[in-house]
Amino acid sequence: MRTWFERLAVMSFVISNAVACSAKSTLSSDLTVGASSSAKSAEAISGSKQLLDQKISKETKFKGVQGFLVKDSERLRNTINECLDAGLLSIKASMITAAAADAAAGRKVILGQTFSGALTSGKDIVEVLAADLYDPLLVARTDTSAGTLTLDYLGALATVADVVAWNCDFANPSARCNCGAPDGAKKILQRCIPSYSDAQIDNVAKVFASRCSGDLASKRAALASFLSSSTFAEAR
Amino acid sequence: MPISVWNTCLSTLVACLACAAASCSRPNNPIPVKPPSGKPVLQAVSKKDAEVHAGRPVPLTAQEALQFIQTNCSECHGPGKPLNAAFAIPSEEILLKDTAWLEGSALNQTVYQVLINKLNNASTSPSAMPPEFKSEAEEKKLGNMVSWFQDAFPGAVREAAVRFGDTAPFRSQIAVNLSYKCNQLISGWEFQNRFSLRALGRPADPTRASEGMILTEAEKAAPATAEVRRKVVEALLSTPELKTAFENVALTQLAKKIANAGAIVSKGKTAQPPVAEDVLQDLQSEFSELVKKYYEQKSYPELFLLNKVMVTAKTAPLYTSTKAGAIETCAAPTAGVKWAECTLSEQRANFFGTRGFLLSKPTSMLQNNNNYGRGGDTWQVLFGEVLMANTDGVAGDPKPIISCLNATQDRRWKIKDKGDLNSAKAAWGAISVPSYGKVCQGCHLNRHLAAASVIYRPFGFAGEIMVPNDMDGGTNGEPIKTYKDLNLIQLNRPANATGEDDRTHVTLADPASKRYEFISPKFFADLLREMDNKEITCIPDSRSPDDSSKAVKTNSLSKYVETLMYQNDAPNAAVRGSAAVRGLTRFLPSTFANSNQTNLEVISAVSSAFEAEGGKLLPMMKAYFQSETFACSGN
Repeated sequence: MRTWFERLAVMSFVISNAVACSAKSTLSSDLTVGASSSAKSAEAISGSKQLLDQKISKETKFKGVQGFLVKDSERLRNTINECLDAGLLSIKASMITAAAADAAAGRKVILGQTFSGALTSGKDIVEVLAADLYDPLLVARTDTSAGTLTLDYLGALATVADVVAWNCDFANPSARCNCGAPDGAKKILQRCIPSYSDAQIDNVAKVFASRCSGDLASKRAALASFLSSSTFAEAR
Repeated sequence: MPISVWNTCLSTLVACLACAAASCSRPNNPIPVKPPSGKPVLQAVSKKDAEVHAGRPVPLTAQEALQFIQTNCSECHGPGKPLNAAFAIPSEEILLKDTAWLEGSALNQTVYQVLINKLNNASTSPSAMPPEFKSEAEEKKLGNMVSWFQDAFPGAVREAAVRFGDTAPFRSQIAVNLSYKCNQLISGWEFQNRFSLRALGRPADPTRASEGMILTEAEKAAPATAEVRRKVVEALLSTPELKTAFENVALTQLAKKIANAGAIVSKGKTAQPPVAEDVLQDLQSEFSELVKKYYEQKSYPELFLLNKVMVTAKTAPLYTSTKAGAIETCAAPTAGVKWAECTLSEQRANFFGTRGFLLSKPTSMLQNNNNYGRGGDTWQVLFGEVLMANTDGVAGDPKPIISCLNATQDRRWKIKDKGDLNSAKAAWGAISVPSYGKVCQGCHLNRHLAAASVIYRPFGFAGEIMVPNDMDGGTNGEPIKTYKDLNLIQLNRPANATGEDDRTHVTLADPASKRYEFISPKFFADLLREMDNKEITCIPDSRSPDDSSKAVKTNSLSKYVETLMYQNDAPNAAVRGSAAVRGLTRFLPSTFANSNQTNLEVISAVSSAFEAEGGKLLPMMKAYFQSETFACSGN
């Protein structure tokens, strides 16, 4: 079970990404921290939140005018299925309840009681969190949506990223989600954020592959970092 | 006196005559102007101008046109002015900055028409504007202003022609200005990725040959030209796999937006949910499933007129009834099949009689809005125009009500001061509202909400079909328990009951003596029995709203919707229902660009595709995706 502090730590990572990526040129800074391992000081969190709030405020001005700032839930699901692998969004029992060995070793699950009964094994995590991810099927005739980057969205995206990274088969070099495989990181970036140029992707792919080359926890952290970044959310 | 009816709308300029007649402030010393002669007022033109603009006044420049609006219209329609709600003109600073505010206005076609009516001295709706000019010099600019409008907003001019009838003598001279230019187009590859993400639901995949090789490297890097946009859209949609993705993402989301799927609810104000939670998702998809099945066979307007509905095992029972007067038959899909098609009963008729549409606005004639909400939603689906609810405003002198509208017995009123029958009363009966004043008539007569209140009368809160016996049990019976339990009507409650007072709902029993009676179950039952009269209501011809001889008499939902869509078609139109394109050109940017605005490029492109491709939805969607608007940086 993840504690509130740990959730906050994940959020701080997301926040730092969101702020860093408000300028597209800082793509590489998205990959400097791991989703589940980062822990920033309260001041850092506070400062980042302030910056994020400013960003959100700026973006909110444009809400209802035009443009998608982020992927809505359906586009997020399709994008992950296409650019990584199908089946990575499925919730597993091991994400909710720690195996005895993990519990004994102090390792915690990625989905805890925060979600109480909403999460059950076999469900699609994007479907569970669709309300926070701009569900396009629930948009009324006069509404616009997905025009604002919100803390709710970023929090839900971080959870989705954790689930995807947990499900990825890093032991299989040919898995499309395996960022540690040779050339794998670059192809993931090409498929997931194709609006970036090859030069930009070349640059970041090296950092990404490097982060994804350690133990299983590091690989998961690297992949989750990328997926929960605003760069991925906003790529269009 | 303010009125309080569900739907008196902002989006007509008929209110403006009221401005001239009553509360709007006037110039201190208006210069008297002669009545318009009916002929365009020409300014001197140079030889070159005369060649370019042969036969019509020289257009004003954009800045001159905006100044014309500021000078002649802002006094009533500017910020804080009495008729700002009818047509909102922004502050002088924004108004004079550029034409964006007018381009984005859903009313620009009405603005054009009021100018045309002024120029032609026409008395048809919408009323000629402005009622008075600031000066003779301003009056002389009217023809030039109209010319500017034709050049600057051909989409609006086209819409005006469809909506208000032929705008001769200008129609044949409209120069279709396709000079809309985006400031910065995205690159070819960015366009492919944008189209893929928004229409197919996922990014473009450069590692697949079928996607990475559509454009050359040079085309990928350069701005997305019209040819590049066409190439990408055609290539991707010709791939069977991606066409399926297009149907599941783009077509589905557009249809759900049009159907207001997000607003389809299981619960309303009543304690008893009209529809179980677990059938909601299927109801939210019933129109998108229909569109997916028929979009290549039927024209876009025909999709709304089909007497078909797609059902699942959960929703089929909603279309099945053995109740006398409301018999419906719909078989559930066979085992293993998710969706099946049912033929709608005559009462339901088409999309606007489906449970999904009706539940997106859970209401009924038993409630204060008297079905105006459903009428307003119908107008919005077809024409993209959102009518404003509960608009108080200057009433003005009403036009005469056509006789077929007078036939109904629905003359309900709401007392302002509960318990005091002599206090002020607000109209909300099917006849009361349109006879009240021109502001009310803007929607209730000109946009046919009076007819809608009758047309939607047989449908209950959850879209179920009601019959008279549901109300009063017939001559000897008891009202069906459902309606008492739902408390949709206030049956026989004492006058001093707490909470909502029965006395807020009264009917004018004796017009001569102005005697009022509280409503009763029998009153509602009688209204339902009125539906036996096949000519209980009517839709006036929009070009002659006061001429009963041109009205379409009906009590049929099918006839109602057909008339709305088809009545302005040219006699030789190759495809019927082009008026519905107005709605589509609002829903496309809303769905695929997250934008609540449209523009003349989109209107022109989609309208052209409508006429060229038999009104089919796919070519119109392609036209939108291939527009500069969709490929513009920042969208």
